Amino acid sequence: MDKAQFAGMSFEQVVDKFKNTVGAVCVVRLNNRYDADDCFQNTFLRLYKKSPDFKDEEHLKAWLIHTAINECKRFMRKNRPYFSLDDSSTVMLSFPQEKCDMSWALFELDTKYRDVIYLYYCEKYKVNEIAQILKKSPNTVKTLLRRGREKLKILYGGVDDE
Amino acid sequence: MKKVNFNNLNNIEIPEAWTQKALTLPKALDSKKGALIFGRFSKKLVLVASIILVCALSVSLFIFTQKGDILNTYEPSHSSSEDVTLFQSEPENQDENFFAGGAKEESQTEGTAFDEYSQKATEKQNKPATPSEKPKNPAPDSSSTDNPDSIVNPKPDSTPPKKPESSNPGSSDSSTEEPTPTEPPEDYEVDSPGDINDGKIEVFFPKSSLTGSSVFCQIYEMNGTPLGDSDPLADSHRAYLSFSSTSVDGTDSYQKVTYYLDKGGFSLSKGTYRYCFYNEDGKIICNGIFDVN
Repeated sequence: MDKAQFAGMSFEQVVDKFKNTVGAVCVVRLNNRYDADDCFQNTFLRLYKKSPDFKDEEHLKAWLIHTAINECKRFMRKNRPYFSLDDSSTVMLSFPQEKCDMSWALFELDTKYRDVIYLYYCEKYKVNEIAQILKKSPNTVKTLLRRGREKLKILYGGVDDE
Repeated sequence: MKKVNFNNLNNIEIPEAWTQKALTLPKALDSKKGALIFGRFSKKLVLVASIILVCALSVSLFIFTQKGDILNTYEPSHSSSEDVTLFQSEPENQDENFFAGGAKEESQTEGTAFDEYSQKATEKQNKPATPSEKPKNPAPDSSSTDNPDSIVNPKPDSTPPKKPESSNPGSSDSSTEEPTPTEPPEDYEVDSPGDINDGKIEVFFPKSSLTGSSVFCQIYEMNGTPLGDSDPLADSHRAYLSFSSTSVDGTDSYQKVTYYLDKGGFSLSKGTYRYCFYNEDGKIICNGIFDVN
Protein backbone atom coordinates (compact mmCIF):
# COMPACT_ATOMS: atom_id res chain seq x y z
CA MET A 1 0.00 0.00 0.00
CA ASP A 2 1.43 3.35 -1.00
CA LYS A 3 1.94 5.78 1.81
CA ALA A 4 -0.33 8.78 1.62
CA GLN A 5 1.28 12.14 1.08
CA PHE A 6 0.01 15.29 2.66
CA ALA A 7 1.48 18.40 1.03
CA GLY A 8 4.54 16.43 0.21
CA MET A 9 4.86 14.97 3.65
CA SER A 10 4.17 11.55 5.01
CA PHE A 11 1.67 11.03 7.73
CA GLU A 12 4.39 10.61 10.32
CA GLN A 13 6.00 13.83 9.25
CA VAL A 14 2.71 15.67 9.44
CA VAL A 15 2.09 14.38 12.94
CA ASP A 16 5.55 15.28 14.04
CA LYS A 17 5.41 18.75 12.60
CA PHE A 18 1.93 19.82 13.64
CA LYS A 19 1.42 17.90 16.84
CA ASN A 20 2.07 20.99 18.98
CA THR A 21 -0.32 23.13 17.01
CA VAL A 22 -3.12 20.58 17.00
CA GLY A 23 -2.50 19.69 20.63
CA ALA A 24 -2.54 23.31 21.70
CA VAL A 25 -5.77 23.98 19.84
CA CYS A 26 -7.39 21.05 21.52
CA VAL A 27 -6.09 22.00 24.94
CA VAL A 28 -7.17 25.61 24.57
CA ARG A 29 -10.56 24.54 23.44
CA LEU A 30 -11.21 21.82 25.98
CA ASN A 31 -8.90 22.68 28.84
CA ASN A 32 -8.75 19.01 29.60
CA ARG A 33 -5.89 16.69 28.73
CA TYR A 34 -7.93 13.53 28.40
CA ASP A 35 -10.49 15.11 26.17
CA ALA A 36 -7.79 16.89 24.24
CA ASP A 37 -6.09 13.58 23.70
CA ASP A 38 -9.19 12.14 22.05
CA CYS A 39 -9.66 15.13 19.81
CA PHE A 40 -5.98 15.11 18.96
CA GLN A 41 -6.20 11.49 17.81
CA ASN A 42 -9.41 12.08 15.92
CA THR A 43 -7.96 15.02 14.08
CA PHE A 44 -5.05 13.07 12.69
CA LEU A 45 -7.19 10.06 12.10
CA ARG A 46 -9.52 12.12 10.01
CA LEU A 47 -6.58 13.41 8.08
CA TYR A 48 -5.47 9.88 7.39
CA LYS A 49 -8.93 8.72 6.36
CA LYS A 50 -9.83 11.60 4.13
CA SER A 51 -6.41 12.29 2.69
CA PRO A 52 -7.44 15.56 1.11
CA ASP A 53 -5.25 17.39 -1.36
CA PHE A 54 -3.39 20.31 0.12
CA LYS A 55 -1.79 23.16 -1.75
CA ASP A 56 1.00 23.61 0.70
CA GLU A 57 1.87 23.22 4.34
CA GLU A 58 -0.07 26.31 5.35
CA HIS A 59 -3.09 24.86 3.79
CA LEU A 60 -2.48 21.63 5.65
CA LYS A 61 -1.95 23.48 8.90
CA ALA A 62 -5.12 25.52 8.47
CA TRP A 63 -7.04 22.34 7.71
CA LEU A 64 -5.68 20.67 10.80
CA ILE A 65 -6.59 23.61 13.00
CA HIS A 66 -10.05 23.82 11.57
CA THR A 67 -10.53 20.07 11.92
CA ALA A 68 -9.23 20.11 15.47
CA ILE A 69 -11.66 22.87 16.45
CA ASN A 70 -14.52 20.97 14.86
CA GLU A 71 -13.47 17.82 16.66
CA CYS A 72 -13.49 19.71 19.91
CA LYS A 73 -16.90 21.13 19.17
CA ARG A 74 -18.18 17.68 18.30
CA PHE A 75 -16.68 16.24 21.43
CA MET A 76 -18.21 18.93 23.61
CA ARG A 77 -21.54 18.45 21.94
CA LYS A 78 -21.48 14.72 22.59
CA ASN A 79 -20.15 14.90 26.12
CA ARG A 80 -21.94 17.94 27.33
CA PRO A 81 -24.05 16.19 29.99
CA TYR A 82 -21.01 14.56 31.46
CA PHE A 83 -18.92 16.62 33.80
CA SER A 84 -16.87 15.09 36.55
CA LEU A 85 -15.82 17.41 39.32
CA ASP A 86 -13.52 14.82 40.81
CA ASP A 87 -11.35 14.46 37.78
CA SER A 88 -11.32 18.12 36.88
CA SER A 89 -8.63 19.01 39.33
CA THR A 90 -6.28 16.43 37.93
CA VAL A 91 -6.85 16.93 34.26
CA MET A 92 -7.49 20.63 34.06
CA LEU A 93 -4.56 22.55 32.75
CA SER A 94 -3.08 25.04 35.09
CA PHE A 95 -0.61 27.66 34.14
CA PRO A 96 1.33 29.78 36.57
CA GLN A 97 0.15 33.32 36.83
CA GLU A 98 3.27 35.00 35.62
CA LYS A 99 3.56 38.65 35.06
CA CYS A 100 4.05 38.51 31.34
CA ASP A 101 2.39 35.21 30.49
CA MET A 102 -1.33 35.27 30.01
CA SER A 103 -1.83 31.64 29.23
CA TRP A 104 -3.67 31.10 32.45
CA ALA A 105 -5.99 34.04 31.71
CA LEU A 106 -6.87 32.64 28.32
CA PHE A 107 -8.65 29.72 29.87
CA GLU A 108 -10.84 32.07 31.78
CA LEU A 109 -12.32 33.36 28.57
CA ASP A 110 -15.13 31.89 26.62
CA THR A 111 -14.11 29.41 23.96
CA LYS A 112 -15.06 31.68 21.10
CA TYR A 113 -12.52 34.22 22.34
CA ARG A 114 -9.94 31.59 23.05
CA ASP A 115 -9.84 30.44 19.44
CA VAL A 116 -9.24 33.80 17.88
CA ILE A 117 -6.81 34.99 20.52
CA TYR A 118 -4.82 31.80 20.34
CA LEU A 119 -4.69 31.88 16.57
CA TYR A 120 -3.87 35.54 16.52
CA TYR A 121 -1.27 35.66 19.26
CA CYS A 122 0.17 32.17 19.32
CA GLU A 123 -0.14 30.94 15.75
CA LYS A 124 0.41 34.42 14.38
CA TYR A 125 -2.47 34.26 11.94
CA LYS A 126 -3.92 37.38 10.51
CA VAL A 127 -7.54 38.33 10.83
CA ASN A 128 -8.41 37.25 7.33
CA GLU A 129 -6.69 33.92 7.80
CA ILE A 130 -8.45 33.37 11.08
CA ALA A 131 -11.70 34.20 9.34
CA GLN A 132 -11.00 31.57 6.70
CA ILE A 133 -10.03 28.95 9.22
CA LEU A 134 -12.99 29.56 11.45
CA LYS A 135 -15.36 30.12 8.53
CA LYS A 136 -16.30 33.49 9.91
CA SER A 137 -16.21 36.96 8.57
CA PRO A 138 -13.16 39.11 9.28
CA ASN A 139 -15.29 41.63 11.12
CA THR A 140 -16.56 38.92 13.41
CA VAL A 141 -13.01 37.88 14.06
CA LYS A 142 -12.05 41.46 14.77
CA THR A 143 -14.94 41.83 17.18
CA LEU A 144 -14.04 38.63 18.93
CA LEU A 145 -10.45 39.76 19.18
CA ARG A 146 -11.43 43.11 20.62
CA ARG A 147 -13.78 41.66 23.17
CA GLY A 148 -11.30 38.97 24.09
CA ARG A 149 -8.64 41.55 24.72
CA GLU A 150 -10.96 43.54 26.90
CA LYS A 151 -11.71 40.50 28.99
CA LEU A 152 -8.05 39.62 29.27
CA LYS A 153 -7.35 43.14 30.31
CA ILE A 154 -9.83 42.87 33.08
CA LEU A 155 -8.42 39.54 34.14
CA TYR A 156 -4.87 40.70 34.00
CA GLY A 157 -5.56 43.86 35.95
CA GLY A 158 -5.78 46.54 33.35
CA VAL A 159 -2.56 45.81 31.57
CA ASP A 160 -2.74 46.48 27.90
CA ASP A 161 -1.16 44.06 25.55
CA GLU A 162 0.53 45.00 22.39
CA MET B 1 3.56 49.23 28.72
CA LYS B 2 3.93 45.68 29.75
CA LYS B 3 4.48 43.10 27.08
CA VAL B 4 2.48 40.00 27.57
CA ASN B 5 2.81 36.67 25.82
CA PHE B 6 1.44 33.17 25.69
CA ASN B 7 4.73 31.39 25.96
CA ASN B 8 3.40 28.81 28.36
CA LEU B 9 0.73 27.99 25.91
CA ASN B 10 3.10 27.95 23.00
CA ASN B 11 5.43 25.67 24.83
CA ILE B 12 2.78 23.29 25.92
CA GLU B 13 4.18 19.81 25.81
CA ILE B 14 2.32 17.24 23.86
CA PRO B 15 2.78 13.85 25.48
CA GLU B 16 4.66 11.32 23.48
CA ALA B 17 1.81 8.89 23.97
CA TRP B 18 -0.43 11.16 21.97
CA THR B 19 1.98 11.11 19.10
CA GLN B 20 2.48 7.39 19.22
CA LYS B 21 -1.22 6.81 19.38
CA ALA B 22 -1.80 9.14 16.48
CA LEU B 23 0.75 7.19 14.48
CA THR B 24 -0.48 3.75 15.37
CA LEU B 25 -4.16 4.44 14.93
CA PRO B 26 -4.01 4.57 11.12
CA LYS B 27 -2.06 1.31 11.04
CA ALA B 28 -4.59 -0.30 13.28
CA LEU B 29 -7.26 1.09 11.02
CA ASP B 30 -5.62 -0.48 7.99
CA SER B 31 -5.46 -3.87 9.62
CA LYS B 32 -9.01 -3.44 10.77
CA LYS B 33 -10.14 -2.72 7.24
CA GLY B 34 -9.13 -6.20 6.20
CA ALA B 35 -11.06 -7.63 9.05
CA LEU B 36 -13.93 -5.39 8.18
CA ILE B 37 -13.86 -6.61 4.61
CA PHE B 38 -14.10 -10.18 5.81
CA GLY B 39 -16.59 -9.16 8.44
CA ARG B 40 -18.75 -7.43 5.91
CA PHE B 41 -18.39 -10.38 3.60
CA SER B 42 -19.40 -12.76 6.33
CA LYS B 43 -22.23 -10.46 7.27
CA LYS B 44 -23.41 -10.52 3.69
CA LEU B 45 -23.15 -14.27 3.68
CA VAL B 46 -25.20 -14.47 6.84
CA LEU B 47 -27.70 -12.02 5.39
CA VAL B 48 -28.08 -13.98 2.15
CA ALA B 49 -28.34 -17.25 4.04
CA SER B 50 -30.98 -15.74 6.30
CA ILE B 51 -32.98 -14.50 3.32
CA ILE B 52 -32.78 -17.91 1.66
CA LEU B 53 -33.80 -19.60 4.88
CA VAL B 54 -36.73 -17.28 5.37
CA CYS B 55 -37.83 -17.82 1.77
CA ALA B 56 -37.57 -21.58 2.16
CA LEU B 57 -39.55 -21.46 5.36
CA SER B 58 -42.17 -19.28 3.74
CA VAL B 59 -42.50 -21.64 0.79
CA SER B 60 -42.70 -24.68 3.02
CA LEU B 61 -45.25 -22.95 5.21
CA PHE B 62 -47.25 -22.03 2.15
CA ILE B 63 -47.15 -25.60 0.87
CA PHE B 64 -48.08 -26.92 4.28
CA THR B 65 -50.95 -24.48 4.45
CA GLN B 66 -52.15 -25.55 1.04
CA LYS B 67 -52.00 -29.18 2.09
CA GLY B 68 -53.91 -28.28 5.19
CA ASP B 69 -56.56 -26.64 3.07
CA ILE B 70 -56.80 -29.72 0.92
CA LEU B 71 -57.21 -31.87 3.99
CA ASN B 72 -59.72 -29.49 5.43
CA THR B 73 -61.72 -29.50 2.25
CA TYR B 74 -61.46 -33.27 2.02
CA GLU B 75 -62.54 -34.03 5.55
CA PRO B 76 -66.03 -32.57 5.34
CA SER B 77 -66.70 -34.49 2.14
CA HIS B 78 -65.47 -37.63 3.83
CA SER B 79 -67.60 -37.04 6.87
CA SER B 80 -70.55 -36.11 4.73
CA SER B 81 -70.23 -39.41 2.89
CA GLU B 82 -70.24 -41.13 6.23
CA ASP B 83 -73.28 -39.18 7.19
CA VAL B 84 -75.00 -40.25 4.05
CA THR B 85 -74.05 -43.82 4.67
CA LEU B 86 -75.34 -43.66 8.20
CA PHE B 87 -78.41 -41.93 7.10
CA GLN B 88 -79.06 -44.56 4.51
CA SER B 89 -78.34 -47.31 6.93
CA GLU B 90 -80.76 -46.04 9.52
CA PRO B 91 -83.89 -47.46 7.96
CA GLU B 92 -82.19 -50.82 7.67
CA ASN B 93 -81.20 -50.72 11.31
CA GLN B 94 -84.65 -49.64 12.26
CA ASP B 95 -86.10 -52.51 10.34
CA GLU B 96 -83.79 -54.89 12.07
CA ASN B 97 -84.74 -53.46 15.43
CA PHE B 98 -88.35 -53.58 14.51
CA PHE B 99 -88.31 -57.22 13.60
CA ALA B 100 -86.15 -58.05 16.55
CA GLY B 101 -88.71 -56.47 18.81
CA GLY B 102 -91.74 -57.75 17.04
CA ALA B 103 -90.64 -61.33 16.67
CA LYS B 104 -87.24 -62.32 17.87
CA GLU B 105 -86.85 -65.28 15.64
CA GLU B 106 -88.79 -63.97 12.75
CA SER B 107 -88.01 -61.23 10.39
CA GLN B 108 -89.66 -59.85 7.40
CA THR B 109 -88.53 -58.84 4.03
CA GLU B 110 -89.01 -55.15 3.58
CA GLY B 111 -88.61 -52.95 0.61
CA THR B 112 -90.24 -53.04 -2.75
CA ALA B 113 -92.75 -55.77 -3.06
CA PHE B 114 -91.95 -56.55 -6.62
CA ASP B 115 -88.22 -56.57 -6.27
CA GLU B 116 -87.24 -60.14 -6.76
CA TYR B 117 -83.63 -59.34 -6.29
CA SER B 118 -84.14 -58.04 -2.80
CA GLN B 119 -86.44 -60.94 -2.14
CA LYS B 120 -83.75 -63.43 -3.00
CA ALA B 121 -81.22 -61.51 -0.98
CA THR B 122 -83.52 -61.59 1.99
CA GLU B 123 -84.04 -65.28 1.56
CA LYS B 124 -80.34 -65.81 1.83
CA GLN B 125 -80.03 -63.70 4.95
CA ASN B 126 -82.95 -65.11 6.87
CA LYS B 127 -82.97 -68.57 8.24
CA PRO B 128 -86.22 -70.47 8.30
CA ALA B 129 -87.64 -70.92 11.77
CA THR B 130 -88.68 -74.23 13.08
CA PRO B 131 -92.37 -74.97 12.56
CA SER B 132 -92.80 -75.94 16.18
CA GLU B 133 -92.27 -72.45 17.43
CA LYS B 134 -95.41 -70.67 18.31
CA PRO B 135 -95.26 -67.03 19.17
CA LYS B 136 -97.27 -66.00 22.15
CA ASN B 137 -96.75 -62.30 22.04
CA PRO B 138 -94.92 -60.63 19.25
CA ALA B 139 -94.47 -57.60 21.49
CA PRO B 140 -93.60 -55.08 18.85
CA ASP B 141 -91.14 -52.38 19.68
CA SER B 142 -93.12 -49.24 20.10
CA SER B 143 -90.07 -47.08 19.77
CA SER B 144 -89.30 -48.35 16.35
CA THR B 145 -90.81 -47.23 13.12
CA ASP B 146 -92.01 -49.40 10.39
CA ASN B 147 -91.30 -49.25 6.75
CA PRO B 148 -93.75 -46.78 5.31
CA ASP B 149 -94.26 -49.05 2.34
CA SER B 150 -96.00 -51.54 4.54
CA ILE B 151 -98.39 -49.00 6.03
CA VAL B 152 -101.57 -48.13 4.37
CA ASN B 153 -103.96 -45.95 6.22
CA PRO B 154 -107.17 -47.83 6.72
CA LYS B 155 -110.53 -46.30 6.39
CA PRO B 156 -112.58 -45.77 9.49
CA ASP B 157 -113.93 -48.78 11.25
CA SER B 158 -117.42 -47.62 10.66
CA THR B 159 -117.07 -48.69 7.11
CA PRO B 160 -118.99 -51.88 6.72
CA PRO B 161 -116.67 -54.69 5.87
CA LYS B 162 -117.09 -56.40 2.65
CA LYS B 163 -118.00 -59.96 2.67
CA PRO B 164 -115.30 -62.27 1.56
CA GLU B 165 -115.65 -63.74 -1.82
CA SER B 166 -115.54 -67.10 -0.28
CA SER B 167 -117.70 -67.52 2.75
CA ASN B 168 -116.17 -70.81 3.50
CA PRO B 169 -112.54 -70.56 4.34
CA GLY B 170 -112.19 -74.22 4.34
CA SER B 171 -113.14 -74.49 0.75
CA SER B 172 -110.41 -72.09 -0.19
CA ASP B 173 -107.76 -74.33 1.21
CA SER B 174 -108.27 -76.83 -1.49
CA SER B 175 -107.84 -74.21 -4.15
CA THR B 176 -104.41 -73.10 -3.03
CA GLU B 177 -101.20 -74.63 -4.07
CA GLU B 178 -99.52 -75.67 -0.93
CA PRO B 179 -95.82 -76.33 -0.67
CA THR B 180 -94.65 -79.75 0.20
CA PRO B 181 -94.88 -80.48 3.93
CA THR B 182 -91.21 -81.35 4.14
CA GLU B 183 -90.28 -77.93 2.89
CA PRO B 184 -90.06 -75.42 5.74
CA PRO B 185 -92.03 -72.28 5.20
CA GLU B 186 -90.15 -69.13 4.40
CA ASP B 187 -91.67 -67.00 7.02
CA TYR B 188 -90.15 -63.71 6.15
CA GLU B 189 -91.18 -63.39 2.59
CA VAL B 190 -93.60 -60.62 2.10
CA ASP B 191 -94.16 -59.76 -1.47
CA SER B 192 -96.69 -57.16 -0.84
CA PRO B 193 -97.29 -54.80 2.02
CA GLY B 194 -100.47 -55.07 3.86
CA ASP B 195 -103.26 -53.21 2.28
CA ILE B 196 -105.64 -51.73 4.81
CA ASN B 197 -108.67 -50.92 2.82
CA ASP B 198 -112.31 -50.82 3.74
CA GLY B 199 -111.77 -52.45 7.09
CA LYS B 200 -109.71 -55.30 5.81
CA ILE B 201 -106.07 -56.15 5.51
CA GLU B 202 -104.94 -57.63 2.26
CA VAL B 203 -101.53 -59.16 1.93
CA PHE B 204 -99.97 -61.01 -0.93
CA PHE B 205 -97.92 -63.99 0.10
CA PRO B 206 -95.82 -66.18 -2.05
CA LYS B 207 -97.49 -69.47 -2.22
CA SER B 208 -94.31 -71.13 -1.17
CA SER B 209 -94.59 -69.51 2.23
CA LEU B 210 -98.01 -70.91 2.92
CA THR B 211 -97.45 -74.36 4.31
CA GLY B 212 -101.04 -74.94 5.19
CA SER B 213 -104.45 -73.95 4.16
CA SER B 214 -105.08 -71.54 7.00
CA VAL B 215 -103.69 -68.09 7.71
CA PHE B 216 -104.41 -66.11 10.86
CA CYS B 217 -104.07 -62.44 11.60
CA GLN B 218 -103.67 -60.94 15.02
CA ILE B 219 -104.01 -57.21 15.69
CA TYR B 220 -101.89 -55.73 18.40
CA GLU B 221 -101.66 -52.40 19.98
CA MET B 222 -98.32 -50.73 19.69
CA ASN B 223 -97.46 -51.77 23.24
CA GLY B 224 -97.88 -55.39 22.26
CA THR B 225 -101.34 -55.97 23.74
CA PRO B 226 -103.29 -58.28 21.47
CA LEU B 227 -106.77 -57.26 20.52
CA GLY B 228 -109.52 -59.82 20.68
CA ASP B 229 -108.65 -63.38 21.43
CA SER B 230 -105.14 -63.65 22.76
CA ASP B 231 -104.64 -66.85 20.81
CA PRO B 232 -103.52 -65.79 17.34
CA LEU B 233 -104.67 -69.11 15.97
CA ALA B 234 -108.21 -68.63 17.20
CA ASP B 235 -110.92 -68.81 14.66
CA SER B 236 -111.71 -65.17 15.09
CA HIS B 237 -108.30 -64.34 13.68
CA ARG B 238 -108.62 -66.50 10.66
CA ALA B 239 -107.88 -64.76 7.43
CA TYR B 240 -109.20 -65.73 4.04
CA LEU B 241 -107.27 -66.95 1.11
CA SER B 242 -108.62 -65.50 -2.02
CA PHE B 243 -109.68 -67.78 -4.82
CA SER B 244 -108.54 -65.18 -7.21
CA SER B 245 -105.36 -65.95 -9.00
CA THR B 246 -104.68 -62.25 -9.31
CA SER B 247 -101.24 -61.59 -8.06
CA VAL B 248 -98.91 -58.68 -7.74
CA ASP B 249 -96.69 -59.71 -10.57
CA GLY B 250 -99.32 -61.07 -12.83
CA THR B 251 -98.35 -64.63 -12.10
CA ASP B 252 -100.04 -67.16 -9.94
CA SER B 253 -97.09 -67.56 -7.60
CA TYR B 254 -98.66 -65.29 -5.01
CA GLN B 255 -101.72 -65.73 -2.93
CA LYS B 256 -103.77 -62.86 -1.61
CA VAL B 257 -104.78 -63.18 2.02
CA THR B 258 -107.50 -61.01 3.44
CA TYR B 259 -108.38 -60.38 7.02
CA TYR B 260 -111.48 -58.47 7.98
CA LEU B 261 -110.91 -56.27 10.98
CA ASP B 262 -114.39 -56.61 12.38
CA LYS B 263 -114.03 -60.36 12.55
CA GLY B 264 -112.05 -60.33 15.73
CA GLY B 265 -114.85 -58.85 17.79
CA PHE B 266 -113.00 -55.71 18.75
CA SER B 267 -113.23 -52.15 17.71
CA LEU B 268 -110.32 -50.03 16.62
CA SER B 269 -110.14 -46.52 17.87
CA LYS B 270 -107.94 -43.86 16.36
CA GLY B 271 -104.30 -44.78 16.56
CA THR B 272 -101.57 -47.01 15.27
CA TYR B 273 -101.76 -50.77 15.41
CA ARG B 274 -99.72 -53.69 14.42
CA TYR B 275 -100.93 -56.64 12.44
CA CYS B 276 -99.26 -59.98 12.31
CA PHE B 277 -100.07 -62.88 10.02
CA TYR B 278 -99.44 -66.43 11.15
CA ASN B 279 -99.59 -69.64 9.26
CA GLU B 280 -101.38 -72.58 10.69
CA ASP B 281 -98.21 -73.63 12.42
CA GLY B 282 -98.18 -70.41 14.38
CA LYS B 283 -95.24 -68.92 12.58
CA ILE B 284 -95.24 -65.29 11.69
CA ILE B 285 -95.27 -64.88 7.98
CA CYS B 286 -95.94 -61.17 7.81
CA ASN B 287 -96.31 -58.23 10.13
CA GLY B 288 -96.59 -54.49 9.88
CA ILE B 289 -98.33 -51.47 11.29
CA PHE B 290 -101.25 -49.42 10.14
CA ASP B 291 -102.99 -46.29 11.23
CA VAL B 292 -106.62 -45.78 12.01
CA ASN B 293 -107.67 -42.20 11.49
